[in-house]
This record gives sequence, C-alpha cells and structure tokens, in this order.
Amino acid sequence: MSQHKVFANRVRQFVWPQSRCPVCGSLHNGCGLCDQCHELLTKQNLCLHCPTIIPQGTVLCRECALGIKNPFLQGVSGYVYEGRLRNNILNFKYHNKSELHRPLALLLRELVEQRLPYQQFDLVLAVPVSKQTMERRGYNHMQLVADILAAELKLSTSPIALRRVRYTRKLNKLNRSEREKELVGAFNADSKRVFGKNILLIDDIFTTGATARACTEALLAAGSKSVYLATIASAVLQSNEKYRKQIDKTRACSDSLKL
Amino acid sequence: MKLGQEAKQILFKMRAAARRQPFCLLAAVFILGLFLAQALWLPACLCIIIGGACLLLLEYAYKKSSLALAMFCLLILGVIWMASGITEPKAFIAGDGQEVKLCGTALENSQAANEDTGAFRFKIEKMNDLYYRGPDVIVYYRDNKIYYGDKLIVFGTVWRGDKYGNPGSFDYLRSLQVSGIGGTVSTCYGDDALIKVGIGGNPLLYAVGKIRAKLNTAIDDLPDLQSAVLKGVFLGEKGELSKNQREILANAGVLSVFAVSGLHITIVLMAALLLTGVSYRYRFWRLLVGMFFVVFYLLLVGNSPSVLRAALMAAFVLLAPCFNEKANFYSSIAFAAFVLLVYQPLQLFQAGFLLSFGAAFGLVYLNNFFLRLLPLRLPFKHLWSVSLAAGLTVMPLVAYYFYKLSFVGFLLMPFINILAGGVVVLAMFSALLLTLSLPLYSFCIAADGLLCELLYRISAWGAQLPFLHTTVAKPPLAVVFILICFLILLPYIAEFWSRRAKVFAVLLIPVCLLLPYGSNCGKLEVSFLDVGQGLCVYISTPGGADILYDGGGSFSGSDSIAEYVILPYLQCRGVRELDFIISSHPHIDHIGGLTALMPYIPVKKAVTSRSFCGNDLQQQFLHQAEAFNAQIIFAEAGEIIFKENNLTINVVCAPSLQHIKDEGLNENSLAVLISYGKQDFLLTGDLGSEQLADLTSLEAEVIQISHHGSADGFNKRFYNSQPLLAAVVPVGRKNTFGHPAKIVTDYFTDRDIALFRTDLDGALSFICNGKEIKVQSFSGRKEEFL
Repeated sequence: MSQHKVFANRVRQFVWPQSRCPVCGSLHNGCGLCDQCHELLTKQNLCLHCPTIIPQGTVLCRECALGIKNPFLQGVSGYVYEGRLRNNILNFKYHNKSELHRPLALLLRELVEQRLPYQQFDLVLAVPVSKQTMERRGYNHMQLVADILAAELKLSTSPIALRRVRYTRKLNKLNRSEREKELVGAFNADSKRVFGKNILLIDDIFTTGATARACTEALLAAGSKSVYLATIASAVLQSNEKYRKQIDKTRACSDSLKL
Repeated sequence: MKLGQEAKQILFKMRAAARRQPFCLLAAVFILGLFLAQALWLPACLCIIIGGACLLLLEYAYKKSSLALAMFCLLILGVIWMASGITEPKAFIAGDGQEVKLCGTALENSQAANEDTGAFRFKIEKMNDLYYRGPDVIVYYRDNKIYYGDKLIVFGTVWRGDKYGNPGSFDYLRSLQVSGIGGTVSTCYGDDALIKVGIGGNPLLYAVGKIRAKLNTAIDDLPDLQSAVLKGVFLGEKGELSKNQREILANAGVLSVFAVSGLHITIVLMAALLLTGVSYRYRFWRLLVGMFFVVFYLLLVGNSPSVLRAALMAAFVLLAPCFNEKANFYSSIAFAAFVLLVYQPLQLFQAGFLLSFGAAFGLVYLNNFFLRLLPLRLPFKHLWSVSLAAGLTVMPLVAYYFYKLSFVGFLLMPFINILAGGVVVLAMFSALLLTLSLPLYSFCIAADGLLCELLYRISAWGAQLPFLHTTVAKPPLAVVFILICFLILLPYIAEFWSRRAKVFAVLLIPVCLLLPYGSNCGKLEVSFLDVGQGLCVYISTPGGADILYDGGGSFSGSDSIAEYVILPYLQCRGVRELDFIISSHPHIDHIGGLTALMPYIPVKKAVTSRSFCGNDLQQQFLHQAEAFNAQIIFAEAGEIIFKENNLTINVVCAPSLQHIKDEGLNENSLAVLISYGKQDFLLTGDLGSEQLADLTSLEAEVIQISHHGSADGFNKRFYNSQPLLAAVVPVGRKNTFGHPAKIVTDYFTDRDIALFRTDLDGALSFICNGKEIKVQSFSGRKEEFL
C-alpha cells in the first residue's frame, strides 16, 4: 500500500514540481533539501535527549542539564527556527501554503534517517489540531506531513489515534508554566490504535516542549510502548541564548588559560 | 577559453532549469516529435530522431535518469502520432460546385460573416438522403436567425475554398480541415434553401445558445461601433467590424484582445472567485465555482484553441490546491498543449494555436527578464513587463503570419488589457443577469458599450501615431526559428551582459524582422500572380520601385481577389506602397482588383488610357484613384512611363480611338514592354491578333500570352518573329471559357518554348539580372534558368 503512496507522491512531484529548498530557498533539482542544508542537518549539535540545538562542545541543553524530565525517549530536530525556514513554517501553518508539506516531509525523513537510524517504529503520529483550528486553516498541516513521511518510511499513520479534545489558546504568547497549564487534558489517545506500539511523534517547532510532553503523556497513558519525537525546527529560547553566552564565556576563559 | 566556460555554464544552468520542470520538458519533446515528423524530409527526420534517441539513451545508461528514458519514449510517440496519419483530417466527399441536399443539426448560432450573410457550423446526418459520416461543414445563409440545435434541411452548392498558388495567401481550406470542417455550403440564393424541421442537440448547449442569442439581440441595441467592438471583445465575433476598423485595430497591435484567449478566461475566473467570495481554504469549492464560470463562458464563445488552452490551464491551476500542491504555470501550459495536440496534432502549424501558446509562455518566461531591465521606478512596472514579454515573443510569429510589426501595441496593451477586462466582466455579469431573466442587464450592456467605445478610440489614436507600425516582408522560417531560440536563450545569456547590451539584444529582434527578405536586390523581377481567371503582374525594379500591371478580379463581383490574394502577396513581399499601377483595360478580371486594392495600400501613380473613360468600371477606378490621392496618367502609344539606369518601361500599344465601346475593350489593351539590359518582357493584356501584328518589330524574350491564351488573341506571325525564351498564360483552374486554346499550347510545344500556366504552376516569378532569366514557380514544379 505504501508503495502506491510513494509512487503517487512521485507523480505529484512530477506534475507539480517544487524545487526550492525549504530551509535556504535555493533552487535545486528535486524536492526536499539542497546539498548544503543536508550537510548542515548532520552537523547540528543536538541535545542528547531533547530536540534542542545546542552549541558545539556541549552535550545537554540547559533544561535537561537542570533535570527537567521529558517523557519521550529521544527527541530530534533539524534546524534552528529562524530565517527562511521560519517564514516557510509560518506560511505553511497560517497562510494557506499547504504545498510546503512535501519538502518538509522529506526534510523530516532525512532527519529521522540520520538521527534515529536504528529505532524501530510502528506508527507515525502528528500533533493534532482542534476542530476550530482545522476549520480556520482548512487542513491539518502536520497530518499532511505525516502522510507523506509514513509512506516514505513504509510505516502507517492515523489521523484519529491522537486527538485534541478541546480548544487551546495559541501558546506562543504564554510562558512555560502557563503553557503546561493550558495543555492539561488537551490530548487523548485511542488506546486501541496505539497500545503496545512504538510511536514517532512529529511536530513543526519545539519551543519549551509543552505540547510534545502533553501528547507523549497521553500516548503513554493509552499504553504505547515508546515515543520518539521529531520536529522540523527548534526555537532558540531566551534561556538558551543566555546559556550559549555562558558557555562561550567559559570556553574563552579556558582558551586564555591554555595560552 | 573564457567563452567556452561561459557557454558551459549557460548550458549547465539551462539543463538544471529544464530538469526542474520535467512535465514541461516531456511536452516539449512530444511537440518536437510532432514537428519533426511533419516539417522535415523523412530521412533527415529519421537521422535527427536516431541521433537524439542515442544521446538520451546514453544519458539513461550513464546516469540512470528515468527522465531521459521518458523523453526518448515521448519523442518517438510524437513522431508516430503525427506520421501515422490517424488524425489526418478527412475531406468532404462532395466536390466543388456540386448541388447537395443536407439534413443535420446546427452546431452554433449563426454569426455575421459579412454585411448580409451569416455562417454557422453544421453537422450533417444525411447527404442527398443517404446516411453520412464525415467532417462538418460551414453553411452560409443570408438570414441570421439560426441557433444551436436547430435541425435543418439545407439545399446548397458546395464550395471547398478557392486554392490560390501565391506566396503569402492564406490556406483557408487547410485551416478549416484542421478544425474538423470539410468545406462550405453556400445557400445564399432562393427562398426554400433552408427549412427548419425541429430541435436537437445537447440540451445544455441549446440553453447556452439561447442565452447567447438573447445577449446578441441586447448588444445589437447599442450604436454600431459599440456593438461591433463588444461582440469582438466578449464573444470573439469580428464579423461586424468593418475592414477599415479591423485594419486600424491590427495597426494598433491590439487585435489580440479581439480573440477570446487566456486574458478573458483569467479575468472571468478572477472576477468569479472574488465576487462569489469563496475562501482560499475551500479548495474544492473554488475549483467547482471557478470551472462553472469558465465552462459557461467557454460554451458561450465556442471552442477555439486559445480558449481551450486557457480553460485547460485554469482547470489545472485550480486542481493543484485540491491535492495540497502548488499550481505550476509551466506544467499547466504543458498539460494544455499535450491535450490539444494529442486531439489534433496538425494544430501545431496553425497561427492561432502558436500565437496563443507563444504569448502565454513568453509572458511568464520573459517577465522576470523585463522586470529587471525596466527602469526601477517605472509606474505599473508589472503591466509593462508583461506586455513587453508577450509582445516580443509573438513578434516573429506575427511577422511570419500577418506581415505586421506594431510597436504601438507595447504602449497601448496595458491600458487596453485593463479596459478589455472591464468589458468582459460587465458582459459576463449581464449574461448572468440574462440567464436569470433579471431586467437590469440593459444598464450593464449600456455601460459596457461606453467602455468599448473608449477602447476603440484609444486604439484608433494609437494607430495614427507615425512610425510605430509597419508592414514587413515575410521572414523565412529559419529566421523565425532562430529568433525564437534566441528569445529562449536570452535570460541565460544576458546574465553576463551589461544593461545596455541587454537593451540592444531586445532591439535586435524587430531589426532582424525589418530586413527586406525575399527581395531581389539589383535585379528585375516580374511575377505573374495566380488570381484565377484574370491577370495580375507585379514588377519589382532593380532600383526598388514597385509596379502592378492589372489586378485580377472575379466575375462574381466581390473584391476578394484584392483582399485575399494581391494584398497578402504585396505585404508578404514587404511592399508598403506602389509606385505605379497600370490598368490595361477596364474589364472586371483586370481592373477589379486594382480598384479594390487602393483603400488598403497607398498608390502614387495610376496609368491608364483616356479612351476608356466612357466605361463604368473605368469611372469607378478613376474615382477611387482620386479619392486616394493617386496621380492619374493617361498614356499614349510609344510613351516611356518609367526609366531607371538601364531599365525602361514603355507603352508599346495604346488605343488610338477616342471612345471605345464595350466590345472593343480587349483589342485595345494597353500593352507594356519592360526592357532591362538585353532582356525584354512584353505584357499584352487582352490584345487581339490584329494589334499583335503591329508589334512584330519588338524583340521580347518573355511574353504574356494575350487574352488568357484564347484563340482570337493568337497570331502565329507575331510569335514567329519573337526570339522567345518563355511564355506565360494567366488562366484560371477549370475556367468555363476553355482557355488556353489548344492551338496556342500546340504552337509552343512544337516550337519547344517553355509555356508556363498560372493554373498549374501557381505564381510565377521571372528574375532577371540583365543577362539571364531565372524562373521560380510557387508550386515548386519548375525552377530553372532559361
């Protein structure tokens, strides 16, 4: 079945070709990442546990180092949420540019193949949107990505296995604790579909991880075996910036000591 | 070395760009296959195909690119599709002049063909009471009250289109056949020529046909000019525009808005989606609503290639969001081309198809180039760049098909497009109101009429501007091909160039088209045109003067010879004004075309004889000459009317009597001798044998046999006295007079002198450099030195 879907995707790429890299916007042959951005994907230094991108020479992000626990086994992300990628994701989500789902799905496929090569998954699930949001946008943007990704990875996906049972406010104006509070009981997983499964959860941006944590908890509560998280981009938070400065300072100190 | 690297870089970039649009690339390869199969000599075509196929297979073998394999398959498919002849149009089985009784259904509302006749497409079910399967016909009828779906019995005469063998004349028959029409049936005489027996056809189309008829009556209430322009812009009916108005619009270069095309469909689509307010997120509803209006408009105006192209593209563009995909222009145009060409590959050689696709492709392809080239702060920059891009792409094609070059179009097109948009939206709105039978439509149409008037006034103003439009000689196909390739390469080559170089490159295209193609510099050319039964000789002197000796004309009295044969010929030769026209005698098959020609092309001097003044046709000719400011010269025998270095044209025979009665006209023709160096051409008009006897002192190498080869114009003694190399008989196909007479043809066969006939050879041109003479015939049968 997924063979057919892959073929259908190839036909769609043939008839309505897209050849801009979603990250840097340069033209290249074929859909998805250009060569430079593909190289960058493997060079990014990720936190061992969560999808945060951290400076070279460090191992854990500030949150993980401080001991804030994430329920998912491992999270990965591709790029920093900035520049053209940020514009693309915003257009994809809010400005009706649903055609971007294909390059972004291919981005995620590369990411999963590079960063989670040995993990076994049964199910690809997208972070769901509420009915109201769905009506406003006309499409569930991450589910479009999940469809293509699942076909490419030869996995299955389901738009109803994980649901957002009530409307939640936009999170981008809220702080960390408010986000956690807003999302309490927002998700519900269908235990018939997820019980005992290894799940790949995908989302567009990883900021504080509140959404991902809430989804994962709902999935685990419904009995799924393990949850991995893959996001397209991770935001550089204020705290991380501070952390980076701190690191830079210490590194400068150590360099000067060596001299 | 550096140049090689740059070329490599350009090639690499173009290859990358082509690979980014695989669908478009495949369609292009398919079209190439069709083109090769039709246009080239078969062995050459095979060589090219095998070479191309080897290259593509090599690419497949080394790089494993499935695109190369697909390209190879489509190239072969294109060649097979065209060469197999599955789609070759069928001819209508009845012959010319045959009287037939036809039963069938009208396929469209009848449209005004000219002042008093209407024409409509007719699907035949029975011919002469026998069941019939084959192409449709066009029926000409003097009444305009035929609607889609009327079941009719038609009595009429079959006419499959006159086929003239002249450079530049339009092959009407072929263009009809390609659109699935086998011929025409004329019913313009008699009262019982057409009987309505019922109603049939598709009910949906029938309803739309009724709406169109209602709309037409509503538009007819407007003043003449407004209704003609409105019908032209909204429905694509140009029949009501007078020839003069059409000429003005063509000179202004705005005739493209009078053919329903992508512009109209885009406007209808945009207006429909805006006014119905279907939001972006309901993609499927947008597709439904948009296509509803587009199909309604399509049914209303009928299917020409340009409308079909635009409708297919619109469907493809609206379909993309339904699959959460981005609409891609090149894929859409490739899809439209693919569908239309698989259905009828011969459309590829039709002007309408090429212009429509060329303009649409160029508009997007070159738009970016012009956006960067135009001054930074130009207001409405996008409008200008679009009009420049589309105009420049079709410029070689317009020069090739219509022999016209208009620069006013670039200036006017942005405004005209906006006005045409308004006209179409208002007319569409009133059509909808009419459908719902609301009374408000008359206001809409009245407002629309005013817009049309404005559109016409602006165009007429533009057409008056001097130096901005001109007639050009028909460029050879190779030049058109090179120019189009140059335009395709332009955005890539020009990356390395300065701004000034880019401007020069753009200006190079009109300059290339302005070159005098097909003229024989420093040589005398005497061409006998194929005007059916009649005489028309075009003389181009080494110094560049253009002279016309007689102008043909048909006995049925229409001036179509001037309009469809002589004018296209002169335009295709790049003749902008005639220095002399010489009328041999006032018979309709000689003077008719000259009189009718004068409104279209400026004439400096008109030469005729004073003795004919009592004749009606002569009076008409003189009035026309006066009206168009031509100087009238009454020539006497022996008078030299034109002299250049070693070329003289003198009147060797002119009537001596004061007033000549109708029966004596032929014998008193004005005969003319053109002597260039040692070579003499004698043009005799319709001289009788007695008058020829007086001319034995001349020594002509090429002679036009008088009176279309009739026996009473034959004088053996005269012909024996001439050192003839060739003789020409201007004669019509299957003429009822039995010309040329057997005695004439036998004489030349016996003397072993080449006898050329315009009915068999088509147009004949004799090119002379003062020493030797070369003949070219249009049919290609003969090309030799004498």
